Amino acid sequence: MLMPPSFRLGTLVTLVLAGLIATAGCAQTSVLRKADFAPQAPGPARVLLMPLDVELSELTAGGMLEPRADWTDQAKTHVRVALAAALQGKHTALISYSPPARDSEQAKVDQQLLMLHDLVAGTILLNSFVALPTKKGRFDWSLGEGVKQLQERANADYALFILFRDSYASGGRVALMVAGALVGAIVPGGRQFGSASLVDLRGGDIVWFNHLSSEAGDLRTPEAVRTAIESLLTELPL
Amino acid sequence: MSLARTGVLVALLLSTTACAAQRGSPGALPDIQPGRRPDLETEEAGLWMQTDRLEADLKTSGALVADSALNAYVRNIVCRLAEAYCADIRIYILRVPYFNASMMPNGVMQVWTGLILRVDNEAQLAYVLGHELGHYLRRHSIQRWRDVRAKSAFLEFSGLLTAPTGFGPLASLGAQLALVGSIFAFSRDNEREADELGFGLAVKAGYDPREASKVWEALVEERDATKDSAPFIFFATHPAPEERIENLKAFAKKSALDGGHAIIGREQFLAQTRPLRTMLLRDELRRREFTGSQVVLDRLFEAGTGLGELYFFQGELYRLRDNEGDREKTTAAYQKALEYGDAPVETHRALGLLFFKTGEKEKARLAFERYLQQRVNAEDREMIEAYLRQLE
Amino acid sequence: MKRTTAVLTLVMLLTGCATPYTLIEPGRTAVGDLYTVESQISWSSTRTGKIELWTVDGNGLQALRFVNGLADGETLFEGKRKDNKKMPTFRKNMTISEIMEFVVDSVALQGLERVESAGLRPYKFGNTQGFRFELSYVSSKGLEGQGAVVGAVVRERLYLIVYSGTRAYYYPKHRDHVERIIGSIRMQ
Repeated sequence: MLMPPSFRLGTLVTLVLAGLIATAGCAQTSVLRKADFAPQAPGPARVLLMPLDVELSELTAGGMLEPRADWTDQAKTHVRVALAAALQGKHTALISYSPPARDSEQAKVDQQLLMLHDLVAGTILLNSFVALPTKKGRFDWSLGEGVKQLQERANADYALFILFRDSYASGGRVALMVAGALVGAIVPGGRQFGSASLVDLRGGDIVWFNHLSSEAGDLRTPEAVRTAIESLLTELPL
Repeated sequence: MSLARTGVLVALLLSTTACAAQRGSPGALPDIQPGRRPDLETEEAGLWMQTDRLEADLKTSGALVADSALNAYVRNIVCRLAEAYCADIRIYILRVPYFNASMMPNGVMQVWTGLILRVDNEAQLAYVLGHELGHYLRRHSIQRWRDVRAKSAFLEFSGLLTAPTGFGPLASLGAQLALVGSIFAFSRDNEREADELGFGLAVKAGYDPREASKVWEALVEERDATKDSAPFIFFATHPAPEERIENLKAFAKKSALDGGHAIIGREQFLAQTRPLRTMLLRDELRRREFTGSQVVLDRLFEAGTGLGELYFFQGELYRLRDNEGDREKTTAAYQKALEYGDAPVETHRALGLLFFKTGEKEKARLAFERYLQQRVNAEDREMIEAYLRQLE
Repeated sequence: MKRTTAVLTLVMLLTGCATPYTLIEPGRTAVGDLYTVESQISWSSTRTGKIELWTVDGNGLQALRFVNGLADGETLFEGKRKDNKKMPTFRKNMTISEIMEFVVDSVALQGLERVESAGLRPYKFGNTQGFRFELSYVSSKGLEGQGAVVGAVVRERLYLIVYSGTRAYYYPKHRDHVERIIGSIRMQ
């Protein structure tokens, strides 16, 4: 009640994927950025890539998402490669996140930060559909000064959070979609969702947020991942 | 419905069944091997991946009981049962006041504190944990997943047969959520199998076979007292407890072990769990399920450890229940608690509040003053001092 | 059209039977029938039954709840199970210590973990003698949160102001504004 779980990013993404927020066949992206954001000092920006939140599933005939470990593993590799390539063109150095020792104080601090980001990003996503009156025409979200420890630890200027959910219809599901069309019912097929947030590590402000949702594209292939990452990062303000 | 439409659906239904068969169909599987992770391209790996994510959530969960002694104790019992599989099992003790333990396919074992409050000794705990290990070894989750998947395909097809409506996506989302919730609820056959396997593990580890059925007998007593089976998650999908008790008793009879030499482990169990009991009893009363909680308290009284604390919580139960005549019972229980050395300091505050309400000013003042004397750093000192001023 | 329906469905799913959010401008605003408060900043506001909720950034991040006059026998939140007997119930003859227990136990049944209270003390609620205590909790996923509760029983009814949010950033962000709001209570 004090902290409703419905606003977590993952939950919203499930709803998006379940077809509640209908999207056209082509990929749609939706960029939000902080109005008064000015990039940090000249020189290549150092971007810390936070742990990837990626899950690929198979959509069974019954409409259940069956997670696929093999596809997810491949997709994560593709995402890292595609990110490095996309940011190279943007005068940016990508730094990988080195996880602190298990059960250490540092690990707890990082966990809190990841959970806070998840909650804030979920709220941003919800607001992009139905904005609170206090948030209309504003983009002023933050994770607070707790991010400064990351700035020092990783010697980075920004942190980049990436999330992907993707599902592919199984053979049975495709058959069901065809049958549904025959009897006039719409059976949602697989859907892709991705989001990216860029956090300024000087003070924790989320300076840019983008999400894309598409019924096309297959994150199991490096080409599709490159396309998805490129459209996700098009207007990255670096 | 037209013949063509029915025909198409029937044809599709058949094709799905065939398709599901490619990635494994419902039915028995060989037992899991120690130290093994499923191959990446299998559906089992997919389930592991998802349960790995759930595990990451568990690691940070607010409900996690951090007490390292208790964790080590439970781990030790599990390892005695699991032997070669010991290293594959990760135990998470969660602060949830209901009787439950569960096992995920990737080796995550959840133990709820409501279970710890409801068993008498190490042997009883071991039989429940053994049952969970049974699910793990037999890979019941993956069987269950295949089962659910086959069923859910059928559900959506029958949804198409009955007129499709504009709420299609919403309805299927609801159905999906409901199905996901039941993924780890095993079939009754799976439960029977886990009972037998778990029993064997615990007997082999030297635990008294006669303790196995007692856990369920206690649960039946609690269920019958409350006349409400809703909180008994274990009963929802498990075989009728009466049947299970009979089975376990039959196993115990057959078991070659001489009960006289077998481990019951009451002292060790008490030593390990007693420090947490105050917290568990507090959580128990939060359920506001007084009839069931009374059965739990009665069993603890019978065991006879820490009577001062038990009488205090007996008073708390009466106070919160607030039935006709409970006020007198509350006072009596708090006063009884104070006859024992281990009554919590809060007993004085509780008595003070009681007398404060009934206008017995002198008694209230005495009780509040005792509370403040014994709890010098009371975090509600300002409030208690305010009550004392009102009493003047 | 399809998109509008979908968004409405989403809103319904996420908010239950709450009213749509409206803007509360800086200035003096009536809260329920009992009192008014003055705010320095704008808030988004929604109401569910007797609870009015104000937030700036989203109610998962920080929320200021006004519980307007619970009567004897009422619960703070609706029971998740249909049986409200199992939810903690407000009684008009409760001591302040019992009211705190009522709030803490109600909150703990909403899926939050390690809900702890501290520092119960008398506190001014408008021109009435009320009480105050602080809360700490973690979400079921483990994110730390904190809260402050100020309240009073007026004409046998319980009035509460509950400010809560994530320990990192969102609770502290508007804490001072909330303190001023609490200090500005004026009975109508």
